[in-house]
Amino acid sequence: MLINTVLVFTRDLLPLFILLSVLLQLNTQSKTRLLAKAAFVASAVMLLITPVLGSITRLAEGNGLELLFVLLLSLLLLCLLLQTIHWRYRTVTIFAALSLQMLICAINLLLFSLTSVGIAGAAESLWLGAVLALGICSSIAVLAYQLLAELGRISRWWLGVMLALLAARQGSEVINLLSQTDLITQQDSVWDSSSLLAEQSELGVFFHAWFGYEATPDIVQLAAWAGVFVLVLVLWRRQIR
Amino acid sequence: MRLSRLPLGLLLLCSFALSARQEFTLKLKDHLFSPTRLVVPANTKIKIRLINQDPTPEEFESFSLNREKVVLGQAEAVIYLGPLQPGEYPFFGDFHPDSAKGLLIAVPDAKWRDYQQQHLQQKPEAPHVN
Repeated sequence: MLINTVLVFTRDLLPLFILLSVLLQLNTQSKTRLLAKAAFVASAVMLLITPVLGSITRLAEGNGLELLFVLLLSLLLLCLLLQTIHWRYRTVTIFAALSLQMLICAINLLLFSLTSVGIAGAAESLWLGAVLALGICSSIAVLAYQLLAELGRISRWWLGVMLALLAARQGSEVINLLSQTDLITQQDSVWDSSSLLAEQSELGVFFHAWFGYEATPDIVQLAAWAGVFVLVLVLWRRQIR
Repeated sequence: MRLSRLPLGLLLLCSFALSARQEFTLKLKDHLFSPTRLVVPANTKIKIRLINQDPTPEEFESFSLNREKVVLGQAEAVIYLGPLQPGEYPFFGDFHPDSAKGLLIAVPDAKWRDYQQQHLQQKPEAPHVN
């Protein structure tokens, strides 16, 4: 239970912490205040959603949660795109992007936490696992933040590339969820790199959280990933000129 | 007159599209999938109705199928798949990976017809797919 809790929490929290390390580089105003505001909004929305989460999951033959995630991830992608369009949207979009990613994490973790209900000793494993996962994710986020700060002194391009990778991940995830809900037809895999780097491996999980690594992507997913990546880079280039 | 038939035509088209998928059932009880080896036809669209009979949620996860789906306790959900290449696709319950494990086997047309015929007679073991 403990090991699985650490794994699930790390996998679900990592995208948030990586996003945090990148977006806080872009924000020049009070970072703590921005974080607190985003956490407050995500918590408030979570309080509103929790009573109806069961009903949401049962929508569309049990695909309601996926459709909700499609909506949240699309909004997150929009926020990341707006980042690159104009500086004046920056604070609002960072705040919105962080709130949305926090909300996605909170929903996933709430659902996982329900597995410990009524099981003796499970609550302790849950808390301990959550703390350990928070420690792992925080360490990665701090390292990523410092690395980006150093790279940012050399060139602003690095930040654009990181933003493009994160945005491409959201685009790929949206396509994957649409395929899962049968709104897009699943295609054959373009390649299978699971023998080189399995998605369930430590590095695979990290790459998935960072830039949406898939061992067996299909052509639509790949096209969405590449399209968003190039679009963000082009917009970023226009902005830093 | 023709325009008035359009909604009916669309409705028929939609109902055909929805009914085109063959449905399979996968149950989850005591954090164990049943059947553990689910045989399905390859190269065709299918849907799997996942029925969670446990009181707690479970996440159906398969890296090879690119599927990750949470099903609440005492609830069910549909997983849309395919067309799949013939082969074996492992899946597991992400919240209980030690116990909830299974294998989806997509078999080619000829093998699928044989399997169906055998299955109607005596419910044999799942055929091996290369």
